Parts: sequence; structure tokens; C-alpha cells
Amino acid sequence: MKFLCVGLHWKTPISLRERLAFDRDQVELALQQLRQRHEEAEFAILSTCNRTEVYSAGGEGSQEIRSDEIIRFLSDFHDVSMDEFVPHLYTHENAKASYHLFEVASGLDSLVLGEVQILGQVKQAYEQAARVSSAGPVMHTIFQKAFNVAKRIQTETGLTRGRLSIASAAVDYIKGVFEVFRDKTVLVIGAGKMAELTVQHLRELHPGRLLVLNRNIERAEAIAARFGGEAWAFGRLEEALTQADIVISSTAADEPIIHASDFARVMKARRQRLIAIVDIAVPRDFDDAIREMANVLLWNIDDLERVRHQTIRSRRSELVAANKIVEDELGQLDVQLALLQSGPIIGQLDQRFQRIIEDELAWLLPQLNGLSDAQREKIKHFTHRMKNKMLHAPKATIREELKQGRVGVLELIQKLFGLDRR
Amino acid sequence: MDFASRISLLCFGASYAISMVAELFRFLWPHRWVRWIATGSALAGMLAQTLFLVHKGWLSQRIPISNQFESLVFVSWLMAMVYLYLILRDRRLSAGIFVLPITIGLVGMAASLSPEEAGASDAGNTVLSATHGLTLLVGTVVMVIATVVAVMYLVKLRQLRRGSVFSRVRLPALERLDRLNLAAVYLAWPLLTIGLGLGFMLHHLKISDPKVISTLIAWFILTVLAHYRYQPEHRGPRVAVLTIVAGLAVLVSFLGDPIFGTAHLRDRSTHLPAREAGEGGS
Repeated sequence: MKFLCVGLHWKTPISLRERLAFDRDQVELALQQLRQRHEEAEFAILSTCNRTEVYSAGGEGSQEIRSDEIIRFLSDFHDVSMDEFVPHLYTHENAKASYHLFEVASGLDSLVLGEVQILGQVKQAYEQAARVSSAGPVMHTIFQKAFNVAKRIQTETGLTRGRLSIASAAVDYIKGVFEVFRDKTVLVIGAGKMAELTVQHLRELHPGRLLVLNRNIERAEAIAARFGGEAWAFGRLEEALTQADIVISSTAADEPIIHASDFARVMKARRQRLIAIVDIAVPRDFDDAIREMANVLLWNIDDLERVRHQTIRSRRSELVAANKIVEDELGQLDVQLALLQSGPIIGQLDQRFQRIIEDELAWLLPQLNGLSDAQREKIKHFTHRMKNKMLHAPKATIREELKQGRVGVLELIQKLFGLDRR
Repeated sequence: MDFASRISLLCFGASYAISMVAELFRFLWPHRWVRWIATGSALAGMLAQTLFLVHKGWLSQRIPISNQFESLVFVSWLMAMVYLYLILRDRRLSAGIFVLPITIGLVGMAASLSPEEAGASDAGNTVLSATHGLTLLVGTVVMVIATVVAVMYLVKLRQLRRGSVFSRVRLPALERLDRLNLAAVYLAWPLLTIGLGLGFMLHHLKISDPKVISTLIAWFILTVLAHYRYQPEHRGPRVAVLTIVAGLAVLVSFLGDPIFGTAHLRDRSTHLPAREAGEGGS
């Protein structure tokens, strides 16, 4: 059994990636065509904006699926000359292909290290393959293992933790302050692109109320209408700050719009209720002295940038742990695949002994004249019992050896009994 | 019950210590096995401690809270339960480093006392005595929880102010910690007030007893805290610090006998009415 992966990823120019990508319908069509070419093999196609990969499993010896066949198929299907894309392709076989799939599913091979969306896309690729019956037991085993690896990496390492944009880092900060958001008021000061982007990220928290303040009330109204909030005149700033729990500020003002003394008044009016302020304006909208006040958490663009870098560093530092998980699970996959393969081999072994018995009976029984049918049946039954008893111990040993990870036992059995190596 | 009689403080104390080491190890290597070891050891310790307490109660035919030794074991058992609840509810939470040192400390303190002093008191015999003991113990545990939550609040606040959003010490949001603190303070205050009231009613306590003095001080600080928390203006780090002060005061009063070298619980039997003093006990 051979597990093969042929593909290209984000290092390939986008113009070429676009031409070799499969849409949803094309994936199913391509899988059906591949199955027509190789009836006994299994296939799956992963196609995202950053990668296109074809996975195949099954076939050995003359039936083996070669990478050049997959490459030719890609070329024919998309009508792209092989010369154009072959230099960008990578090919992995067997353990390396499984390793690669594990890395892909867990975001280790992604453009943004540790991204989690890819896991959903890999699941989708497997489900599509299963739907058109091009994924069989081997694909099932390997893909399930890949999902398990990704899940372990997500829970046991910090590889997927944190966000990589300023706006999303602000959301991470806020989630550290508040737990429930449906009773919270979000105040957005300024109606620039950055404020809009941050509000977009904040929507995932489903805050109870959104207030938008801007010197130009029409722009405030436009954002408020888009995100289901209320537009307030800029003159109501202190009142809005009194009501808000979360503040996003990004005005283009030349100097702070809120000084410490103003904010002390606001805090008194809000009876020292906890407030989280994300000041993404440059220069800053909130006087830096405000961050020293009790029950105020104020972050500016530098803090958010630091979080972004921290996330990148922290993800890199988790690589060793993540790779260790990939390697651990790869070892277990070998055993699982060997157990999967052992079924047909044990079946062959059984059939081989059965054939010997039948040959020998065909030689013996005609020589034993005078035997009744019942006696002949007894002899057949005896040989059948003897075969089962003789094979019981080897079968149990094979399974036990495989469970212990000694997968070489299958090859040995094949050699010893001259079984079909396919 | 023969098996339970062989369980010692070392059994569950060591289990909690292993759990604590595993919790610390999780910062270096957050593997699921390490988490399982931490949870498994705590579960094993909890089981052993439960059997230990059931056995004690079975032998004396009363709730095992009648002396300082038993009270320490009982409170540490409740704290272990709190740890298990937290870790099973949110496996990523760094609850162990805050709760387990207290559990282990209480078990360690119990180990320094003689369990044989257990029979001297009859505090667990009557409904009122049992209520007195239980309200004080549960109130103490709730106050210790409030203190742990307050420490967590300060650590979380520091993390947020320093910009370490993804610290390895994973804690709940500030808002949740504040709500937990509020709930714990409001639960601890009536429990400890009832417990103290019953104590004064049941036993003729001497006002000069250092344990009594420390208990009154602790109750006073807790009352100030409860009043302080009632006003919405008072929240955040100041409340957290005051909670820690109140929590420590409650803990000192709870550990009064070994700290001050007094024998409050043992002396109780001599102050009990004759009918009560004559019942039960070994």
C-alpha cells in the first residue's frame, strides 16, 4: 500500500495556484475521474486559496499509483502545461505523506503558522472524498489521525493561540477583562477604517449595545447602521464614556481627546465600574496617565503591536512541542495501518493453508476406498480443525506484534509463506 | 472499613503533592498526560481522604470536625474538592498552583497535630454544635476561596496591564473573578457570623483567649469587607487586597490553636453543659 501526496502551496505564484485550484463541484468530478482510472485506489483532494493537494492510497507493484500519473491528471483536468507547474510541485510518499498531511491539518505548513481554518478545510476534503466513495479504510485511518493530531496540537500547545492582526489582538485583550458581553456597551470613537475593522472583530462577542461617536455624524451613522448601533454626536463623549464598558478609539485628533482629569470625572460618574479602552489612534486619544487609574485597562497601539509579536514568538516557540506530537502520532499511525493491512494478509494465509488441505485431500480421498460419506466428511472436518488450531497462534502473534509497533512481522509472514506481496 | 483504617495523611498529602508538581510541570510541558497525572493524583487523594474522613466519622459516630486535627483535614478535603471542580470544569485553568498549596499546607499542618486529641470534644454531637462547627468550617473554606480568587484577580490584572494576554498561567476574565469574589464574600460572612454566634451561645468562651480575639478581629475585617463590597464604587484591586487580608485573618483564627498554643476545641468539652459533655466521645 502506498500513500501519496502531490501538491503545491502558498510558495507557488498565485496566478498558477488559481489555475490549478478545484472548486467544490470540480473536486467531486476529479475524484470520480481518478477512481475511473484507478478503481482500487482511494483519493482525496484538498483545494484552498493557499494550496492544492491530491492524496492517493492503495496499489502496489504494477498497480502502484505514481506521482507522474497524478501530475498528468492535474495537467489534463485544468488544461495547464506540466512544464508550468511541475517545478513548484512537491511529492511525498508513505510516512512522509502522512507527516505532511498532519502538518497541513494542524496549520504547521500554513502561510500563517498555526492557523486553524485549514483543519475545517481538510475535514471538508475528506468528507467530499467519502461522499463520492473515493475514500476507503486507508484514507479514513490517515485523515482521522490527522484530525486527532490537529486537535492535540490545538489543546496541548499554544500554537494556535492568539491573533495576528491588531484588531483581533484588541479582542483578545477585551476577552481577558469581560466574560459576558450581551450586557456590555461598546463605544467606538472615530469612524476610520481601523475602528471599523475592530468593530467587525468585536461583533463575534455579540455585545449588547454599540455607540458610535464621530465629529462627522454622517460617517458615525453609516457605521452604526452597518453594525446595528446608535450614532451619537461627538459632544456627548463624556456621557458615552460613562455608559460604555468597552471603548475603541481611533480619531485623527492631534492631541488627546480625553485627559486624566476628565476621565477621573467619568470614573466617578460610572461609580468606578470596570472599563476596557483600546486606543488605536496615533497620536493617542487617551492621556497615558489614565492607565494608572484603578478599574481602568487602557491599551494603545504599541501594546497591541507587542501582543501581535508575542503571538508570533509564542507560536514559533511551540513548534518543537507540535512536531513532537506529529511524530508521536505518526508512530501510532504505522501500527494502525499495519493492523489494517494485516486483515488481508491473514486472509491470504488462511486461504493458502486451505488450498494445501484441499490439494492433499484430493490426493488422499480417492485412495481410501470403502469410506462412507460421513467418514469422508469427518476427515475434511478434521483437517479444517487442524488448520484452524495451527494458525491460531501465528495469527494472534501477528496482531500482538503489530500492536507493539513491530510492523516488519507482516513482511516476514509474506516471505515465509510466499504470500502475494500486493 | 479495615482498608480505610490503613489510610494515613501521607497517602492523600502525597497524592496532592504529585498533583501540584504536575500542575507546575504543565507550565513547561502542557501535555495532556501531565494534566491527567495532575487530575488523576488529585482524584486519588480525594478518594483516600474521603475514606479517611468517613472512617473517622464511622468510628466516632459524628461528623469528623470535633478537633483541630479533624477540622484541618476536613477543610483541606473541601479545598481539594474545589480544585477538582475547577480543573474538571476548565482543564486549561491554572487553578492548581493557587488551590493545591493551601490543601497541602492544611494537610501538613494536620500532620503536626495529634489525631488522638480527637475524642476530647463533643462539638459534633448535637445539632447546634454540628451547625456551629460546619458553618465555621464551610465559611472558612468559602473565605479561603474568596482569597484565592482575589489573588487570581491581582495576577490577572497584572497580566493584562503588562500586556501578557497569553500567559501560561491561564486565569478567567477579571469580570468573572470579581463576581466569584463577591459571591464568596457574601456567602462567607453569614456562615461565619452564624458559626461565631452559635459558638458564643454554646460555649462559655473567654474573651482573653487569643483564638477568640483573633476570631473577633477576623469577623470584624470580614464585616468591613462585606460592607465595602456592598458599595458599587468599591471594586477592583483594593477589594482584592482587602479580601486577602480578611482571608488571612480568617485562616489565622481557624488555625488559632496550633498558632497560639491554646486548646480552644479541647477546652470546649469542659464548658459544655453536663448533659452534652457526658454524651459520646471516646
